[in-house]
Amino acid sequence: MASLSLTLTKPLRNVGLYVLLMVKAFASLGEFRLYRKNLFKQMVRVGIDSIPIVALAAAFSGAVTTVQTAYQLVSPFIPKRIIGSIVAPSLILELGAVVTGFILAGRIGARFAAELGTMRVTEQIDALEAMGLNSIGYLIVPRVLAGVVMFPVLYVVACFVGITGGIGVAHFGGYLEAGEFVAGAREFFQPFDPVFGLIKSVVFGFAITSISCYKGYYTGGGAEGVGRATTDAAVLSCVYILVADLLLAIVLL
Amino acid sequence: MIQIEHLYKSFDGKPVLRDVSLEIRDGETLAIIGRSGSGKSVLMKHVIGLLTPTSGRVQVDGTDINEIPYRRLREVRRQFGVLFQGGALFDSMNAFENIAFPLRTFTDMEEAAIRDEVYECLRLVELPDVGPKRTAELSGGMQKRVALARAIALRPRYIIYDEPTSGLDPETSNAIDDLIRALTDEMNVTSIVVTHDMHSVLSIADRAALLHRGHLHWVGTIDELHASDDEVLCAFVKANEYQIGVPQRV
Amino acid sequence: MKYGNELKVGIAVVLSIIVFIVGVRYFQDLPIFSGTLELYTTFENADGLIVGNPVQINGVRVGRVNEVRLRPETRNVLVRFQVDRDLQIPEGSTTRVSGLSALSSVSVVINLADARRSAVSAGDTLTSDQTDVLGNLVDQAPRLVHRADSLFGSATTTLNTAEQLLARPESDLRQTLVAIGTTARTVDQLLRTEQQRLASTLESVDTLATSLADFSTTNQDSLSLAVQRLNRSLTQLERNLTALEQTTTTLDAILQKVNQGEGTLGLLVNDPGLYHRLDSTTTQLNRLLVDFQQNPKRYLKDLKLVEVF
Ligand SMILES: Nc1ncnc2c1ncn2[C@@H]1O[C@H](COP(=O)(O)OP(=O)(O)OP(=O)(O)O)[C@@H](O)[C@H]1O
Ligand SMILES: [Mg+2]
Repeated sequence: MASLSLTLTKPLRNVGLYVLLMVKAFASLGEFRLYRKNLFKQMVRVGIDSIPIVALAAAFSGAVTTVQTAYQLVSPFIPKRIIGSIVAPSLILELGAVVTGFILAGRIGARFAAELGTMRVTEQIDALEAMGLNSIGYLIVPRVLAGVVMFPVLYVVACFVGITGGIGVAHFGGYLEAGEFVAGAREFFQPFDPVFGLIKSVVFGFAITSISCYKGYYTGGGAEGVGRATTDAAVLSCVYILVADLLLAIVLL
Repeated sequence: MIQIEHLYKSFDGKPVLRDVSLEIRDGETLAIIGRSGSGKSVLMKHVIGLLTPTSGRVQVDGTDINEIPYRRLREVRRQFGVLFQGGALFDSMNAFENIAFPLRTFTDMEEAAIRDEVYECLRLVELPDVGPKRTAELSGGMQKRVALARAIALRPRYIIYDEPTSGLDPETSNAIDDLIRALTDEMNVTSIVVTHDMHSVLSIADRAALLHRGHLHWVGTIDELHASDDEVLCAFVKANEYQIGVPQRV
Repeated sequence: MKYGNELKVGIAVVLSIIVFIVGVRYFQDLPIFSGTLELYTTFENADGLIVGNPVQINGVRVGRVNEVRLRPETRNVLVRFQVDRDLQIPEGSTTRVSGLSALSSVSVVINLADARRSAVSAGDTLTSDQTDVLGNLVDQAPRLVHRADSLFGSATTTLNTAEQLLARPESDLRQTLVAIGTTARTVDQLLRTEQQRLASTLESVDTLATSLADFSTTNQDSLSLAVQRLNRSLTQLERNLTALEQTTTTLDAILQKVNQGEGTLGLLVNDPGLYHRLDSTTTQLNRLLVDFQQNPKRYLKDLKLVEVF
């Protein structure tokens, strides 16, 4: 009976724990001195160091979307520039943020969970606390902030490289001219699209980093626990990226 | 002064500490002894509020640390130096940075002064040249000593040592014991030493407290310990004697 | 080096902000560094104009549509659009919607007024000079029908003249002209069948145009198909009418000659390849007729031969 009610309330307790952790993190936002150095270190790790892999993935997404759209649009009634009208918004609205999100979920989510998890099981977090340091402010705030600030940067990189990749493959693959692509992209361009993408990337950045920090911060059970936290963080980050993606689309579009 | 009153602690319904009441007076060194798993580390974590009691109170200088806001609790914690059982060195930093960390975080000291201080601490734990080494490159005993250096870097009023000499060779153990005694004498530090090394207890402690299955089984001075005929205590001391020979008060 | 991380992050953030702003302006088709001028215009029918559609002058893109708002109180559509600031648009310039939203992008086209007039400033409203694209297409049909009608009228007149001519008993070339009568009837018949075909063509054009007008602009494929068919029909009709026009002109010429008392026409009109060979034959005929007037006997002998044949 007790264990049943425990299993039933466990998800709720986890949500509560997560929310509480984030509230504490927000409450520590003011202690900039505490996490300033860490913040820039994490920003470099989350943002700058992720640029190559994000750019690579985005370039391929843009190229593949272009080729597949070209493949599907064989009707002579549809002008070729429509490929640009489809590829550019796909990248700006969806792929730019989601592809970057998945990469960061694997790259950063797992890493944060493993780092914090190890710190937890080796009592490093206790050691920070015992010194009178705000461990949430010191460890979690800079990581989440780094995600929130640097994810949009990566989003811009992804869109830029993705569209460039699309144009490149369109031109060199002989699908359509760069000018046509751009004309098509411009035709259906909505200034809100990139703004929506930015909003998305901020939300994704927050989701990935906060979930993985939560998983890592509350790791228990030694090395095995760290391993579990790591996979959980990566998987949950991906799931919540998709959930947030849908919710944002419903709310904002 | 630290007062622990009727402290109960259970994890997921499993009791670990049961009605522990203990007072640690200013300037004294209290040894907490007991068998492995008896709850020594758990008790010590309650003293700095890393764990919250299921019931009961922990007071530091008259304030209940579980009643005050987090900001205040952190101020209380800053008076403590804590050596964790596993060392708990930050593995993202090297030995030097670990010891410099509290100095950089909590003082406005110049970098040169911090350097001097760190090397002084490293000298005290007899590791003058491990500064540039990363945590993973240090042996277990070295890690523990670097952690001890970190714990004392800020010259805290209270120092909690969780098994400072376990895993160390007898010679280094003695050096650490000397260090603990010196800190206590020179700076009027109040110390809590969690240990099951009777040799250490007899050489550094003023009083000892025996935890047995979550209960505080016995508390008394070292003289009382010698005179006691408590069964559990005698068994614990005997086991140690068998291990390391007859301990002598230095 | 102490602020290495801060520097890296700062550069990345600033660069991405620049790329973002420049990128958005690029895809909005805005001049990246100079400003824009915002203007208004109203249309009775926006023809599927949406935000982001281009604004063009002489087919060159100069700006974009920022807002399309229906104003129920005035029963028209207010369109806010922007153009490059450097552009000097003279007062009195007009706008219209161009393009078919179902097929391609609709755009606002500005017809520039006299360049000597002073330029408009931000917030001004340009008057629209609207011509309905679809309407245009549909309008063509009645015009063609009208043209066809007048054509048939003239054909009938020509044939009537021929008939009158044939009715004259005193004619020298009576025999020949009997043959012409037959031919004329054939032509008449031909015209009648042709008229029917034209009528059905025009009818189908009309139906298409109506259905096109009724069509919602969403079903792009079938609509584009419909418009293509309409276009084809119109082209075919045009071709028909041109051919008919030619025929009638030729017939006119023949009858004129007949009116002047020239009789070898029977030869020509019996030829089934009349329609195609008439031009060259007419030239020949002219020469022949001159000769015929000079030595009629020689030709009458020949004519008999032909009749036997
Ligand atoms: N976070 C925790 N969650 C659940 N149980 C715990 C937790 N921490 C300690 N325990 C349990 O409390 C008991 C006491 O643990 P503690 O670490 O205090 O032992 P100890 O006296 O320090 O032993 P040792 O001398 O081996 O360090 C153990 O049975 C342990 O399983
Ligand atoms: Mg312990």
